[in-house]
Amino acid sequence: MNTQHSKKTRWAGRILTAAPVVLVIVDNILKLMRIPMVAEITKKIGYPDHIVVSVGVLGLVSLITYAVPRTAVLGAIILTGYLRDRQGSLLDDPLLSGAILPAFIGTILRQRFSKA
Amino acid sequence: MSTQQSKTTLWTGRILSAVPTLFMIVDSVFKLLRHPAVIEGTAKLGYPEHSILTIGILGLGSALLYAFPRTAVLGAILLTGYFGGAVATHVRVDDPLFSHILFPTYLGAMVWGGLYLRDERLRALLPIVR
Repeated sequence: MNTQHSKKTRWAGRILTAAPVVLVIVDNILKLMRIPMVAEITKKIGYPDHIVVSVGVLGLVSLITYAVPRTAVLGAIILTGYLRDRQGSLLDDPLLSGAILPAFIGTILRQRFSKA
Repeated sequence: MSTQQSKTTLWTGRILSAVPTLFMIVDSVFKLLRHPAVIEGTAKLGYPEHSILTIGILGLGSALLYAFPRTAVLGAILLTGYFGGAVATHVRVDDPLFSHILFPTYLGAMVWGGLYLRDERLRALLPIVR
């Protein structure tokens, strides 16, 4: 990969990577703060209430794994399971499930750059 | 693949991959055939009956992509997502943790573990990028 191309690729990768990271962070902070709205939605989808904290913690752990460059690939795989998890009963927010694709493309671009 | 790659590693990987692949193929075929046990189980988990066909097609498609070496990585990613959905399904109905909720996680570990042992490119990527 030539250096001109790689700079663009690198930034595209960073932006694509940042999108799901920001989404999951915001989502999980809301979860861990136990905002009534989150509890209500969780209940509406049919999940037991006590699960909210576990889901929040799992989300943040996956995210950190993804955010650290050395473990990004592992993190992307774990996030895939997690985000699909959230999508769960097909009733959950499509916004988060949509975050999977940028997460993967972002990782691939970052990987390609690091190999170049 | 280098010749250094031991036959044992390769075969361990193949067997490890075969388990979730066969499971998914059998499971999906039962779904597509609308086996009474599947219909009953799905209803118990709280999904509408008409979603069985879709879930079956998605499961079978992902498993087949995983089974072909050229598309195995894509298949593994898709299966991971599928298993995530399965975990959520069990969480939702408050199933026991180790036997039900984590069952798809075990399959997922075999999917990636098998591929990891079979493909040195994946070994170069996971779990720690050098």
